[in-house]
Amino acid sequence: MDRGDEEGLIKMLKDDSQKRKAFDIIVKEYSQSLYWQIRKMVLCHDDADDVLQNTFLKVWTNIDQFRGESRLSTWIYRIAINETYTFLNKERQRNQSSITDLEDIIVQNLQSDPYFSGDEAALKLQKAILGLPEKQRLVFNMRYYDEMKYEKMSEILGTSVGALKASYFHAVKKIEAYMNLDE
Amino acid sequence: MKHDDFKISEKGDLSNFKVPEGYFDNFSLRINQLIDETEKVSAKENEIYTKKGNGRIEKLRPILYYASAAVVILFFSITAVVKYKSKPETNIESTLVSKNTSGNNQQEVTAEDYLISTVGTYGIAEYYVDPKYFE
Repeated sequence: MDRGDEEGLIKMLKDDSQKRKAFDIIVKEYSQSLYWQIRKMVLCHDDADDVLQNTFLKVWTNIDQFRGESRLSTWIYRIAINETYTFLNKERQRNQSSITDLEDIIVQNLQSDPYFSGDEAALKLQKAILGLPEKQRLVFNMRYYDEMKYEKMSEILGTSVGALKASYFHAVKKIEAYMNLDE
Repeated sequence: MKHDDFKISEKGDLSNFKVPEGYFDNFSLRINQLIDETEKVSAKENEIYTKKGNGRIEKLRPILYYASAAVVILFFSITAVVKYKSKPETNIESTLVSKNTSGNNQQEVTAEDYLISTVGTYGIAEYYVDPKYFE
């Protein structure tokens, strides 16, 4: 969706009679990309589905507060990322008493997820990515899987391009080191 | 190796992750249903809140009237007391200065003159002379 389309959509969102229609377009336009962004962080389909629903509910309830200071897509992405962080934090708190780390729990869930068909190597890569700090993981996913430009990432995450490049570099090094273990 | 161009291997693609069939086709419908339900619930909650709020206000109305009347009365009473207490005492200096309206010369009556005019000579002596001097 280019800037012109977005502007048209924002106009529709401000018009009560067209708001619902505009929101429907937003859902259709962004649900797939947001889903995969979330899925790469939470890994399990059911969790990704919950987070995606919450994201769109938030978009709907807060759409009147969107002032057009950033692009609509950036704003929606930010909401999705915040919702993902909220979910992960809640999971971390829920499992605080457990001896197992949240990352291990996520891997266990992934293994039993019927919507994951990866082999041992794929699972190992996911373990390596899960070992990264959350923000580094996000940067790695955006760059590695989505091949997102650093400028766009910077807009979404509010971090400088230089810092993002460094973050990605460190993430890659850590993953490489993990993947080369026992090989 | 330029890290920007880094690709771990084909192991890392997302083809291992699947979604239920027709998930994205139905998602829009599901989210719209969810929004409808959420809006219904919030509308009900608002209705209950408004009703509750109105009921409470109706019950409290007479008490609020009495309370506000009491506050107003209290305010005026306090203001009156404060005004009465802080009424400036007659400034001797200023009242003692009398203007000679017949001419341009001002006849100034000082506090000393006032004292002399009000007390007897004996009193004046007592006033001026330090009793310690006679001890």
